[in-house]
Amino acid sequence: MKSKSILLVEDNPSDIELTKRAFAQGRITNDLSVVQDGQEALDYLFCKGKYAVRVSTDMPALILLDLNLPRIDGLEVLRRVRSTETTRRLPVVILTSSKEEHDLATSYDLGVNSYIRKPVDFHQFADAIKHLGLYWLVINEPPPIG
Amino acid sequence: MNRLLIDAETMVQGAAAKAMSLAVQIWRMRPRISTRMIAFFVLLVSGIVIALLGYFRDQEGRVIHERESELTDVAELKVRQIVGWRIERVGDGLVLANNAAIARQAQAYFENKVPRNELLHWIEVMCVHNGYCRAGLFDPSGALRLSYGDIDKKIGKEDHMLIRDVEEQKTVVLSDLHLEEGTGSPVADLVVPLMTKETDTISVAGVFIFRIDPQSFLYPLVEAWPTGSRTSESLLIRREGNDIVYLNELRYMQNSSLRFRMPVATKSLLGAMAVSGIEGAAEGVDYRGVQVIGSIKKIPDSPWYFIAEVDREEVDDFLRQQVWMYGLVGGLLVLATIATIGFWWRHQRVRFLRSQLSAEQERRALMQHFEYLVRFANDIIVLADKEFRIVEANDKALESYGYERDELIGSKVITLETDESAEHFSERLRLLNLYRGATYESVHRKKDGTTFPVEVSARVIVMEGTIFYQTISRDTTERKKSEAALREREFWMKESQRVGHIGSYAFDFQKGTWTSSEVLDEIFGIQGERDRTINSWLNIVHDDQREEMLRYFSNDVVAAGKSFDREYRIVRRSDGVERWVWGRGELGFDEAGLLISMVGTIQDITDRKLAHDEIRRLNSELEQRVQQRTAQLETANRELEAFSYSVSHDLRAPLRGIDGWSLALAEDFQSALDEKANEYIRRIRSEAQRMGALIDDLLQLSRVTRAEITFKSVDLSALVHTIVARIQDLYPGRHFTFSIEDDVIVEGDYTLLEIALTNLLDNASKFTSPREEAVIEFGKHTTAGKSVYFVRDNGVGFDMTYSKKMFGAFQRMHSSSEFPGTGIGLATVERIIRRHSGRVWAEAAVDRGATFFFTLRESL
Repeated sequence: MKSKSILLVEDNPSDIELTKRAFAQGRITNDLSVVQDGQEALDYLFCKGKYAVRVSTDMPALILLDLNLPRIDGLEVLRRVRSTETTRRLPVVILTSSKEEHDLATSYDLGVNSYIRKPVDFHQFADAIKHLGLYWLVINEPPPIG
Repeated sequence: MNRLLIDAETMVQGAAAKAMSLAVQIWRMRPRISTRMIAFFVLLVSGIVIALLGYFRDQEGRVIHERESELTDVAELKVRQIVGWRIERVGDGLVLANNAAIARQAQAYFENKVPRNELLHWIEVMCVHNGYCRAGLFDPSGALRLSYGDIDKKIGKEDHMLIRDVEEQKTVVLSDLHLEEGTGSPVADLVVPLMTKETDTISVAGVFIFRIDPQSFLYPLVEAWPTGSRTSESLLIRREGNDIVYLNELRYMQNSSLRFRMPVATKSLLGAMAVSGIEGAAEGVDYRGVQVIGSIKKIPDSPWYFIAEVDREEVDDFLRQQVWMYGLVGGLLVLATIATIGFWWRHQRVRFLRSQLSAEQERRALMQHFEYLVRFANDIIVLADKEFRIVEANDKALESYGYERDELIGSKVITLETDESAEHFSERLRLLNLYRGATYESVHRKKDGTTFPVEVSARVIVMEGTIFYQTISRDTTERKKSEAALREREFWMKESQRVGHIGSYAFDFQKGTWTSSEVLDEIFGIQGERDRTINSWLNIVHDDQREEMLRYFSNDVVAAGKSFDREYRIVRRSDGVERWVWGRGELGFDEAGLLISMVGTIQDITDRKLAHDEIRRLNSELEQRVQQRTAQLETANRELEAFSYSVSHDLRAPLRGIDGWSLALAEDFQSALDEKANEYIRRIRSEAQRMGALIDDLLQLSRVTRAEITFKSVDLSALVHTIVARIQDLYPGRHFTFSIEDDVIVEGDYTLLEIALTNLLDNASKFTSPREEAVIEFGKHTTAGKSVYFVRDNGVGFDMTYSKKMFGAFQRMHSSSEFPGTGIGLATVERIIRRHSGRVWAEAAVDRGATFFFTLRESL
């Protein structure tokens, strides 16, 4: 069986790298797909645009979603994911620098599974990623497909 | 004259007058045997007498008339009978005269062919049957051949003449009454010729004479009276020359028949009246000279007159009886009247006595009431005799003048006057005596010499014939004051009307006109004009509003019965300037609910109106400006939010990069880096993290400034417990003692208060870190009714010299190497407390701990 994949939606290249590094340090070897803006994330998930050839049933086991994104922001991506039949059950974890109450409230209203604020201290960040991966990819039972 | 004083006086005098009028009333009500009553009585009695007299006169006339008609009836009856008797007699004669058989018989007798007895027998039968007393038969030569009843001796010369006449005239004759030859009795003769008819010649065979004794039939017929009467009499008379001959036997005269005569000239004699042709009822004297009434009737075919009469005395007797009877009835009537009047009078008297009793009681009650009124009246009442000595004074008088009763009674009225007012005394007295009453103003003096103005109503009153002077006085000190005050108020009223440009008016619906104050005239510009009607008002109203105002006035005010309240434009008459006025008016109704007046004010509000317009303009400008500013502020806020968002998001990302990559450098190139390089890397990371903390704190500061605040009940004690638990988790190695007061509950925003307390408690735990045992206290005390909350620690404290600075942002009291921090925490606390309308301050000393106090908005 193919290992569960993770979709990282993040526009900051430095953060992408650091996230990958944190995954590595946390010994999380799952396939990590990275898209750099909201539109791309939606194309990926709905198999459109340059991801049109992707197999639509091959959904990520976890979406790590930044909020402040070019083109379509993270909250809008979340809204579409939750309102589309094929993706509405996907576990989505917001991973962002924002601690704005508005962002928190909207995210939870839209049905986010978890909301994590990226700390400046990389140790803490890596720690959070490690826990996150462990929880969502190992401990947590994924939703049924379809 | 003060109205109240008049009222008091009216009341007092009213009571006295009422008592007096009551007495008069009693006097008037008493029953009197007055001349009027006597006159009435006399009138009544004479009325009865006159009525009786009238009735009597009437009766008298009627009785006489009745008697007269009775007499007439009798007379007529008798005359008819007498006539009947005469006709019968003549009839007898005619039958006999034409009886040829008898004539032949007589001729035969004369020729001695028949016996004498045969004829004599027939004559006898004839006489007895027909009531003749005597009879005789004469032959044609006039010789008496047959005699019945001794008539042969009783034939006089006159009888022979009569027989000759009858023989010649061949007719039956009934002679008049005459005295019989020989006997002297009154008789009448029926002389009948016995006629025979041979061929055409009628010859007299003989003459019969039948003597009639009137005593046997005629006189009884005449004298018989059909009704019972004491004095009634019927007479048969005839005229003989200048005499009246009474034919029948008179009631009051013996042997009078044919012998008694009276001269015709006796005028009042009824007989004389009869022979002079008077018939019917008559009143006069009879043969005795006695007053009689009677009825006269001539007997036809005879010289006789019949008179039925009755003595006047008999009639009068009857009437006299009647008079007695009516007199008795009248007397009884008068007696009954007297008795009735007497009874009525007695009844009235009882009633009078009864009413007098109750009236007397009422009078006494009134007198008592009067006395009470006088004694306790609120006015000074003084009664003086004609020498002007005070004889009575009420309590108010004693109180007002300050005298004892003994002092006042007997002293002269003038002692109550001031020297000045006493000068008018005689003049007043003159008027008082002239008009029996006077009212005047004066000044009175008290016993202690102080004076006071009074209003006096004086009256002359007469009690039991003695003159007294009564004065009712009122102290008008207060009134004078209030009058002055009123004048002042009026002045101010007028002034305020002028200042406020408020004019007043009163509209009279009955007259259709209104009156106006001076100021109103100024507002309308109608000084000097006289016309004040609805139309003149409408003419002042601006052309554009005239119809509208007329409609408003008639429909919305008058018809609806509501107040007038309208702002409208006028054109001032005096200068044609357009002004705004505010008219107000209240309607007035009479008892019947009829609209009678409207009273109100009219204010010139042109200035205000202009000012108002200006204010409105300014307001709208201001509002516009505020809207602009608000919009600007909102934009700024949005920008600030966007900025904060970017700051939190975008500034932290590079910091995370710096930290992350520094660490990556240290980790991946561990062997290549010496101790110093590692130290630098550590510093880079430390700075980056401090920058992160700084950004977080700044964001928090800006957030507490902007955040919406919601006041709710917040349990600070519970909140503090939660925070200290977190702190203990944060510093697991440290030894803390927390002392937290229970049930400190406030009104505030939970989120903001949590941030503030977290900052304070974080500080407390931070600055107690050098202490082996950190003692942190939270509590509340009340100073001057206000709750003050505090967080106290036993930490390092600080120098109070700098305490003012410490609530500013980035202000630090300690070096960051000693105690790390951004210097934003207390600034945040200060903002939060300020947003709760509270105050925050600190007390501390170096090394002796610190206490942070704060207050919050008191719960509403």
